Amino acid sequence: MDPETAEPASSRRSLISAIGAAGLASAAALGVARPASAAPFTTTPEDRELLEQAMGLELTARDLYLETIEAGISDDILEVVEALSGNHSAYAQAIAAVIGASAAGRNEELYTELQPEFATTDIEAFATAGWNLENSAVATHTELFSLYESIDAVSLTGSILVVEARHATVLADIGGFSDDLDKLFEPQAEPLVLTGDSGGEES
Amino acid sequence: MIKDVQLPTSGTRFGRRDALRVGGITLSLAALVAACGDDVGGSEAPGRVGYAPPVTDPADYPVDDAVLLRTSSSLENTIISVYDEILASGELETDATTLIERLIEDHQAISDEMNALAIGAGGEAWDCTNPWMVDRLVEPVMEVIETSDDPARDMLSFAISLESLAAATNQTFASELSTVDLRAAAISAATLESRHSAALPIFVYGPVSYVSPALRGEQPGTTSEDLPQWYAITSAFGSIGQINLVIGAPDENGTRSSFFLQTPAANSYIYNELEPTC
Repeated sequence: MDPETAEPASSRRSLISAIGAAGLASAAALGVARPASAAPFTTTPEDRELLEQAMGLELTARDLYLETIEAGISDDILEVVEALSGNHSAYAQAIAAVIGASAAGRNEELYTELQPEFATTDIEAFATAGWNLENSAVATHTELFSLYESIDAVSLTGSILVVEARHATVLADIGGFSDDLDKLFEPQAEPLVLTGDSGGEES
Repeated sequence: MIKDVQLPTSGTRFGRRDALRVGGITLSLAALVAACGDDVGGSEAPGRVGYAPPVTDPADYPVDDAVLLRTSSSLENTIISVYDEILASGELETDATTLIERLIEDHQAISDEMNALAIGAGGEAWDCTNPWMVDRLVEPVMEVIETSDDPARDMLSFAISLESLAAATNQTFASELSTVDLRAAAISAATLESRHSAALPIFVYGPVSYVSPALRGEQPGTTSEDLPQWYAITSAFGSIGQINLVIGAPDENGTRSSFFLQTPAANSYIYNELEPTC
């Protein structure tokens, strides 16, 4: 897929359907107005609902990279793909620890949609799919970042999304389009729409 | 007839040894009483051995949103000043120059945004560099680079470490700022600077720098010159720990200069009470 013409991930999905578009908009408005200094340290029930969706996204990313490994991607980038899968697994585990749940429940709708793009041995095609996924994940976590109420959720999300931005940078180089500095540093990605359609996959 | 002789006994004589013993005990007790007394005088500072610069206590000013935002801006301005100096040196190839010029644009945009937010938070814009960082980090590092065996290599290493520092700083501030919109601005800056920090090692070293072996529980590698290898992905989670920069020509023992970069703290904040230095 040509990243220049790639459909933004956001146009295919919409964020957090569990709370709905109207709910998201009002939550965002409240989030901006709310002073964070009064934020609780531990997660609130609202945080946990959002974090559970984020965990589903991370488990989906983990499994998509596993698809690439199973497809037999070249040894040249196998270590990178394994590292990306391992990192997303770590994020799901960390979120699970914060919300007090098992790291289970990938987003089946997202997984089904993206699985064909990741089950490939074509390095450029894989890198483009991964680059889109990572940038969409960064945009999604950034959106959620402003909605969380607790310090726990904010700190963890911040430490995840900055590394996912690094993932995207590596994938841009693997895909052969890192010379385009606008694309490298300012990728046009929108937040994913997470339906919460959990397949119940155990980690 | 037995002559009545009185022999001296130790129990009745007070010899030199006894005097020394008693004197020692007395002195020890006196020292103990003095140490435990209420009227201890003199400095209460920890003891210092050898020559060292005098300790300066950090300023005791309040830290609010404006201070954090001004500090962030000061760091961005510091990085811009370093990059300007690097470009002026003429040591970099054309591709590297193009990349550094783009990084300057991004840091200027972040600095402008942080200053605007600082004003909105009731503070004043800070258009200068961070004096503490310049004195303690930038100037010593640039002095070493001037006499390096490979100035261009070390300039790019310094750039990688500064981008990592900026990303870690804004990631930290994103959790400390008091309103959600300020936090969002800080995490966006951290994200962009993480991308910078990942792009530079790839630019310098290529695919070998994609992922640190530390992610697999292995020891990070070294370059052909036995310098620590920089990586695009250094850890699973964003690190806010100190960054080790090794640069300069090796000495007779093969040792190069090491510097440790740390996110701003009480001694390097740009407090609202500070006057601009530029």
